[in-house]
Amino acid sequence: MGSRSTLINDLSIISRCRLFLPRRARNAGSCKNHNLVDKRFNSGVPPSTVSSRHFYQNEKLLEFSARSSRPVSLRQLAFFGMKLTNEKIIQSANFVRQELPTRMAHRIHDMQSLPYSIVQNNHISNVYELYYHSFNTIRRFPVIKTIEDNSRFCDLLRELLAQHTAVIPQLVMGVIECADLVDSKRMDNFMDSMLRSRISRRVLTEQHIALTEEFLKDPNFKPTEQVGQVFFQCSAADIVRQCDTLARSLTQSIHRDIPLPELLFEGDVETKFAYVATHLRYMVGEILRNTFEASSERYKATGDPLSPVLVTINDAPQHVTFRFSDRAGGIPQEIVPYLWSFVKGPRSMIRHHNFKQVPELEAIVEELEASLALAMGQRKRISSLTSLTTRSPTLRLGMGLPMSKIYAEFWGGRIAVKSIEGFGCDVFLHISKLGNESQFVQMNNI
Amino acid sequence: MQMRQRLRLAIGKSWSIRWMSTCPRQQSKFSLEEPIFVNIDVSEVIASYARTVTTKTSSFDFQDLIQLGRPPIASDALIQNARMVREIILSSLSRRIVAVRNLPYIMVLNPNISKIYNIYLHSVNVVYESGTKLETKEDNDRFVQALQNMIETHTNAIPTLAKGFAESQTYISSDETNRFLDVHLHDRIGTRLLAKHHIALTKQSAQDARRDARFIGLVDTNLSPAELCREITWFLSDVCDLQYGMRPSMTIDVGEDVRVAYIPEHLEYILTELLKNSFRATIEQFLGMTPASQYRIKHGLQREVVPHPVAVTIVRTANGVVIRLRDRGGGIQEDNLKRIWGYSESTFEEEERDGFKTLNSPPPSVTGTGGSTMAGLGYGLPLSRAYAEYFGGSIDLETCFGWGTDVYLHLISRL
Repeated sequence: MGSRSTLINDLSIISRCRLFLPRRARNAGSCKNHNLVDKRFNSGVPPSTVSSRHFYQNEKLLEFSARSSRPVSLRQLAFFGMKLTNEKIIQSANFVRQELPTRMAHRIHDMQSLPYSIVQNNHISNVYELYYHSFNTIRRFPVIKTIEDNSRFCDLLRELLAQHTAVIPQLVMGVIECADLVDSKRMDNFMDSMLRSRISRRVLTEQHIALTEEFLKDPNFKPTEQVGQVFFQCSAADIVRQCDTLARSLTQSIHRDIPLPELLFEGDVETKFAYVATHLRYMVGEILRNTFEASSERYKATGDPLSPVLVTINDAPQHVTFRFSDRAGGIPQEIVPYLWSFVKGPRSMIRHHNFKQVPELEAIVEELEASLALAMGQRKRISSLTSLTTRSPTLRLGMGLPMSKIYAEFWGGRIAVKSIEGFGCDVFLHISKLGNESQFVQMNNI
Repeated sequence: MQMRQRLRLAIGKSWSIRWMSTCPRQQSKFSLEEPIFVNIDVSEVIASYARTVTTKTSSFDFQDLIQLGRPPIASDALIQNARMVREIILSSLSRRIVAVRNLPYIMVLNPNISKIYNIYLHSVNVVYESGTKLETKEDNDRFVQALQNMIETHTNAIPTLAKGFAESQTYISSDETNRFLDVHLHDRIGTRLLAKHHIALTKQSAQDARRDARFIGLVDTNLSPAELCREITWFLSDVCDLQYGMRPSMTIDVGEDVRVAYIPEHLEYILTELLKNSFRATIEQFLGMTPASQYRIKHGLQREVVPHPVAVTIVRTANGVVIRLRDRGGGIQEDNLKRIWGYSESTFEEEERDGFKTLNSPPPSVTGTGGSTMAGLGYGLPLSRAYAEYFGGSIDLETCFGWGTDVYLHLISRL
């Protein structure tokens, strides 16, 4: 799809991805079988990380998880106005080298505390093993003393980023399958901390890589614009239009011949601000998908003429607010209490039966891996958020809102949904501006 | 109605004589002419009624108001209703008295608060005495008179109470104030509602009412929120004209024809409050007086060229109605958002209060005060919310600072 490759282009960073493809055992509950270890790659995962000795080899993990993670300020991420030197780069590299295993250790420790039945699930245990292996790999990396050390370190980082690309779909599959095994609050908290930690680790990693690359291109580089993906200059209206095009084409590929409402813009349409573009595209995409889905269903049921979706963009001192106001029929009362939960209420238990196999989501994971191979050849990077953004509309996971909430709140924003039953919905997305004057000072300690 | 059953049990017990000196003698030099002596029986009454429920709960729901059917209502049904109303009101009043007794001593010495205390005692006396025998139509008439007396006595209670609490800020935290007032106002709404409803039912049954009367007591079974919005806008426009030299406007986007069964007084109060806020914000945003407009001026952002009409959307739902008010008044600042639902947190400045006295004069039927002194007390929003929540509804708002605010009013009325 044309629009999709544009999205991929946006994220292009020169990299040499090494690819590891774990195979999943198809039977839930069976032992892990890594029967495909590609010996060309040094960092191949051994046949099973979770061997019988795993219990007794946990000391290092406990040691790391006892440390606290250090706060990371926005200024640190921006590298704004700092004259870069070898020393600064090496310092940054060692910071990342310490922080990543510490933060991963916290999450691994969390997973070790989860009930056995959950982590035993194929998908969750995949993630567990991946995390554990990455933890070991990175903590064994020696102290970085030279720029060449740093280059090798960055290679490792890129590899790790690539390996972890499929984590979100895996987690999502695991959560769906385990919905009836544990209480929803606990699951929600688990997903919340996993995702927030993941965001912080990836941001840290990508920023360091971006910094290294800029420095290597030009050693006298003094950033006047912020470096990396966190401070990408977004045009509010353009992003909404792009998401609209994508969501529209995806919805219409399934619901053919059903008209979709137009978008009407009002407010500060020219607003531009610094933000993580992939996050914003994901969130706006989810909101529009929900609107289009509701609108299609309403049209099928009533055949009523469509009302346009009113998109209001507002430029406030610290935030940019998007309000999407539709008349697509609103959200049924019985769903409203479960809107923000990863584990849905009673109604979704019916859906779960359909998702026991979750073929489409599996397909996404495989597709991701295939794209990764392609991207490797084209020296591009894709993100797992992008894979979710472009997923087929038949794959209704019920995760768009809870995920968007985590992404929005990570940077000090907020998302709210007001439904008028039988009429329509207003969705408010408040985004923190991340530029120089941002009040958002540092990333969560997670 | 679990609570009603418990009340009936309480009444059935015989009162034991208590030593006179253990009963609190309430004398007030400050308000009513005669000092009030609480006699033994009533003291017991207060004690036993107040023991029942201590949390903010409704003793009745919307269905209870209309279960007797349309007036005229048979005499014995009316008597039965009178008995129930008396029990609930006594319980509610007693709870208020005990709550005030639990306030810090110094606070209740404040003349405003002690006045409130006294009128509650007075009302318990009056309502108790007037309903000891409720069997005939004349008994009911006597009871209705007592209710009337109670309503009139308490008419100005809110401004008085508000003044008392405002003056006592050093003696009580704002959290405790909020908690106290939440329950207090909730009870007050219920008491007045029941009383007025019973009075209205009695009157409607006495008249030669047709069977398909539109009103069941206080409930208007064919209320049009759109009509109400228009009336209120018309009224508020005059006030704004006086204050700003400009008239606000309102449009009903959706739901012109929606009808719902509800209590017009309540809806009128809520809508007046919400529309007043929206109109004020819209006009001030246009005139560049709000912080939001000043931010926009400073950053060269586009400004309003006309004061935008407040857009009203009215939607009938399965168990009530939803009314959305959408304005372009510049929104509410982050720091204020937490405070607007608390009491005495008016965003009106001190000096403005006099000027805005006229801005908030809802029709006398609601507060019983003409030329109201309610402006700037900061009770408007929390009181509106209390009205909305009484039968299980809600008021929510979402704001975009710099643009405007959306208010969502859900009302429950199962007919």
